[in-house]
Amino acid sequence: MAPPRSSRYGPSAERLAGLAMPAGDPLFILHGQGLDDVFVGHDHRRRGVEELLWTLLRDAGYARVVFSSLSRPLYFRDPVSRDLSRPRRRPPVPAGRMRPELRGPLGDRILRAPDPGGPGASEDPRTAAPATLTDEHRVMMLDHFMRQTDHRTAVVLGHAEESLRYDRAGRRLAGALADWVEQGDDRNLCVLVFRKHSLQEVADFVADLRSVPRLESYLHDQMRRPTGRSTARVGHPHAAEVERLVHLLRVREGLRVEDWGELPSLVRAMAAMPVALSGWQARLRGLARPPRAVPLSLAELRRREWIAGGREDTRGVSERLAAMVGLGPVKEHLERLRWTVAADAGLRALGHLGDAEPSSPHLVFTGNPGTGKTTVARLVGEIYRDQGLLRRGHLIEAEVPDLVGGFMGQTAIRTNEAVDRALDGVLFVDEAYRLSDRERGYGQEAIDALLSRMENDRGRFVLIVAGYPARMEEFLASNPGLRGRFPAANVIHFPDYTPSELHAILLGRLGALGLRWPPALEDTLRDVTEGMHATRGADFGNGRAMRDLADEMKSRWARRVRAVVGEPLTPEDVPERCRAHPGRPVATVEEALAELDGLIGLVPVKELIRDLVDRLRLRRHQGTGGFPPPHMLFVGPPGTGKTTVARLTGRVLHTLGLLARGHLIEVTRAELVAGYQGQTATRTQRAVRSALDGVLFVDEAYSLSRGGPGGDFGTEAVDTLTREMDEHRGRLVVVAAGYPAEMDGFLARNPGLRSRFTERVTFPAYTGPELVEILRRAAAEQGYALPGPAAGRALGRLERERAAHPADFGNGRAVRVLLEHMEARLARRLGHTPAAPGETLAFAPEDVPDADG
Amino acid sequence: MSGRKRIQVDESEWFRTRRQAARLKDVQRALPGMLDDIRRRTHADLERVFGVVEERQRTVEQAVQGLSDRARELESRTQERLRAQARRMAEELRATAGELRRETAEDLAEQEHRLQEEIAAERRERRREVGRLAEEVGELVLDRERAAALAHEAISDARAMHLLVHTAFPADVHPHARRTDSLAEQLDRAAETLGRGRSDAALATAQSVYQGLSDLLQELERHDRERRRDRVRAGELLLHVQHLIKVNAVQDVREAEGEEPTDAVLDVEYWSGGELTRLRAETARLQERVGDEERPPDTGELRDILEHRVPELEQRLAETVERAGRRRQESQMRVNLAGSVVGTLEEITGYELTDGTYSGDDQREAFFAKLVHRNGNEIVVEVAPAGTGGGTAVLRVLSYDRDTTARDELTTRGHEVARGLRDRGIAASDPEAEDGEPDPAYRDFDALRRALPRAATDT
Repeated sequence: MAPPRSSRYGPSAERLAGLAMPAGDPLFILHGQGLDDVFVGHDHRRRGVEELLWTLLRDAGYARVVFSSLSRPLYFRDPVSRDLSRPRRRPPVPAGRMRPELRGPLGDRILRAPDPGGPGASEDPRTAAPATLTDEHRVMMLDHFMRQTDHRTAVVLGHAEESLRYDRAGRRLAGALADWVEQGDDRNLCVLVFRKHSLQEVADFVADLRSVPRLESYLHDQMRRPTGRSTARVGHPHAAEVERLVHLLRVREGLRVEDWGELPSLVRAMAAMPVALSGWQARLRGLARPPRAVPLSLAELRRREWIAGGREDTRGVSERLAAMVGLGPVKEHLERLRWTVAADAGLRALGHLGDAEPSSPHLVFTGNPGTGKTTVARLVGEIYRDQGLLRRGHLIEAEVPDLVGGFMGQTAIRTNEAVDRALDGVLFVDEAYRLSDRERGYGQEAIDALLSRMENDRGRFVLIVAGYPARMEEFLASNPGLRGRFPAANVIHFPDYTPSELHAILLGRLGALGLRWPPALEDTLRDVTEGMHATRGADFGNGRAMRDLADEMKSRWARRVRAVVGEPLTPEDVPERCRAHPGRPVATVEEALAELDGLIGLVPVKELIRDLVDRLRLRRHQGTGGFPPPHMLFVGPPGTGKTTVARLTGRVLHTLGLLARGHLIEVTRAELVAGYQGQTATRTQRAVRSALDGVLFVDEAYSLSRGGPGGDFGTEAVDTLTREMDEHRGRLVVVAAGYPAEMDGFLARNPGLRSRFTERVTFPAYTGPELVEILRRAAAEQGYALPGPAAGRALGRLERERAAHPADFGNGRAVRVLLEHMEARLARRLGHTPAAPGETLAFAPEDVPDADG
Repeated sequence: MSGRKRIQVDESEWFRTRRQAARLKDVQRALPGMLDDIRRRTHADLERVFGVVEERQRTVEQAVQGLSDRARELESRTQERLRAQARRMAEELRATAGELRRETAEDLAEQEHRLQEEIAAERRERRREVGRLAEEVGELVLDRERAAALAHEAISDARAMHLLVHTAFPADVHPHARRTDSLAEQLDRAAETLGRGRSDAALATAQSVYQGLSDLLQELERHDRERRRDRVRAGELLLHVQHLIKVNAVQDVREAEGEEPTDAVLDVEYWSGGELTRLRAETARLQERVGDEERPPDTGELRDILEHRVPELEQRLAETVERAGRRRQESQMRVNLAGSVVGTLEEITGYELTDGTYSGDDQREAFFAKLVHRNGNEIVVEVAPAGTGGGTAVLRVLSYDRDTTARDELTTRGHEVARGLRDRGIAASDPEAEDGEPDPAYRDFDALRRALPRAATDT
């Protein structure tokens, strides 16, 4: 950190030294919580912001600096300014006497008792000025200072909020501000000191007043400027200033520093907290105060929760990074980032960096929840801070609702507020892709605001956006500006933790919670984590889920053992919902096929299932986990049992432990494709999410790409489906069904889809005897017998029907329709003499209608 | 409209000022030399006035010498008493000249009273003697010669007395002409009666006439003495008034105890607007009248001067001095008030005082102060006398702002000024807006100094 700029007029502090004075603008808007703070300049003396501001303005060439607030309408900090503002120097007038201009018959005598508050009261030469100027005349005087051209003058409105809201001469003030703004001759300057934290808050406040429209538009213009704003924010102290405070209190008030070696990280940790220097001063004085004086140390600060617990580690960034579980590619990426930043810093120091645009510091983290993105974002802040790219390096986490408002204009406000909080640190926006989601309303406005701030506040903050990989890709593609700010090299992917990594995280957390467990439990937990990993949804918490599980186990353990804390964990402490995962025995082929076997035909399906069972058995034997169940094509004419088989397949896969639920969601084009742009993807996603851990059965799948009007939306469904199949691999079986020829054409038009359907099951049309067998079983289910003559007649009837309508013969469905007709005829034939209880009714040949009957 | 704000200021200070000025009412004071002057001139008056008395007394005494032995003895005694009393009175007046004490007058009246009683007692005795003589004459019927001589003597005395009365008081006897004429007729009849040989009747008549003339002489003597005394006194008092006028014309203001004295003298003539000159002239006219020898003031006129005119002059002098002092105080107060307004405005507006003057540079007039803002705006403060002398002043704030023209802003300024004054303990009313824009003429203080304009606003 560069030392504060030296000045003829006095020392400064980093927070103010860096302020860029306006060039050409007549109003300088200062804001930020630091403006109420104390400052410790490089001379190790405490000062108020006013004094430092004075220094700054005198350094900037303002011969006269005038201060004004509601309670002190006009005052000066230096005799020069005061004398310039008082052209007529008056000799002091003794009490009870009048001024030379006022002479009566009795000379300068005052006949009555002297004014209690009249002239002659003792004056502080630094601040002497009329203390009771009315608001009206205060503004008149300030207006005069702003207009005159003899001496470059800066007028500082110390409490701008109060002045703007409560000045009784509000009308005049508004007029004066408008005049000043239009004056713009680059001579005099009005500094408006707001206590609002952000420029947006200032703008809101001013807009809310409705009384200073010119200032409002000035602020608006300022906020729109990409560069060269005449506004500045004074925030919390830099580490260097905190360190000076520590030394000041050390020398003056006996504060002791426990370990000088940790002082740099200590003051960094302090500076990373949103605490004013005055706050630190009070706290550190508390440490130094006898009789219970305590030396200053990281541990002590953590104990008192004055700094974030564990956030600021005495270990270096590399060590902490290495200590994190998993994250191989991330670590590698961060190391590279770290050394790139360091190299840039070195090159800059040597002056070798030239005018080249520095590489963008903003990052994209892709990955599922709980994969350590937030933790790593925090480390990135520290890396940047250590390399001098960021002053504080603190992390501000924001989610989309924090940035996006519900009505026009609110979004920019919220987004700017978040950026303001993150200034000098990192703004971490999780699930950032939701900003580019058109359905969400004003997300684009937030993106625009972020892009604007990345440009305007270059070097002041780092933006890290995070979310699911595919969605983040969409996000970046939604706005060319984003792509420019987040080059491909700045995209870091956080893979899901593997089951073993999850296992390690779980055990680490349990250990950190102070729990003990027998070795056997680790195996149990391995099954649990594997199960959780296998059945994880889109919202699976990864590391977070492990921490939650560990916490839940601890609470169960605690309830079980009461106060006997020596008791180890047992499998009982694993929540029931997780116990389903471990040790599920593999179902036998027979068990798995029992239901299938009840079906007629379906030899290829039965073979496929048998293969899966065999593979699974082999894997278990090898000690490895399961495998993702395949997506399947069911081709065949209607009524050949495709839906039934799909449902059974789901159950079988569940029995085998390859699907967590095995349920069936049956959809057609109508459920997937919507009438207008953008809606289809959502519908398709919704269908896929509902089918997770089960089977999504897409009947007549070929209709999705039938071309013609609306065909495009069908393509959107296909694309979405393809992506979701990848994303939820292992948790979803998609079964696409349809006529063989149409399905072939469909797959030919969607090659990406075809490659994902690894299994193809052909459902042949039923043979005549198979149809009769189906009829017999269906009749038996209803309690009817199908004797030979009736069966023969039915066969003939079905064969004739197939011959008449070869393309859309319903197969199984045709059998069910025939059975209904036969039942009706049987009923008519028997009339009002129903069968005796227990007697099986038999169909007669005449119960089978003719083909046309 | 907006640029003119009028504030009425009532201030307890004014009442204090009046109390303070009331002390000035005590105009009785002596300057070194004043007493000597009065004494000297009173002595001269006494010389003159009582010199005439002595002259006359000599004439009377001479005339008395020509009286019969009997009459001479009585008149001589009376005259001696009168002369002694006149001398005493003169001595007394001389001794107390300039003291102007009431007791002196009372003493003199007492002495006069005693003298009159003594004389009256003598006269009663004398009448008894005369009565005895008449009885004797009645018994002397036989001695006709002697009776005729006595009657003749009485007629002669009476004629001498008649002549004396007319010689000694040629003017004063006029009002008594009928009386003296009647006595003269009686005397003529007595002479006739005597010629007819009726000595006793002639004697009685002559004695009666003599007695009447002698009484008249006494009476005239007394009146003359009193008038002369009053003239001297009136002259002395008027002279004193003139002295007081002179003494009070320019004076130091006597400060209340504990207050710092001021070196500024009070020019009563200036502050009273010429009232002193008028007083002086009036006194001089009265002095002239009192000293008028050709047509001297009679007793009634002198009484009026002594009892009414002189106290009235003194009263008016006291009031004039008091008013002058008060006006001067009020003038100072106006500047003070302007100072308070200026201070208030400087504090609340940031304008600065640049100039101050009385209208026409006359301290008796309204005071103006000018404040200028660095941006060129101007405010003129006018503090005018309220006119009624009711202890108030009228304050106006005239705003010549380039850029503050909004009515409510100027109203706010007016209210702030009033509040600022009240904070300073000055009872200021809420401002009233006056119609019209302030006259730009009031920004030109040089012109204000030169001219003697009317008040800044038409009240």
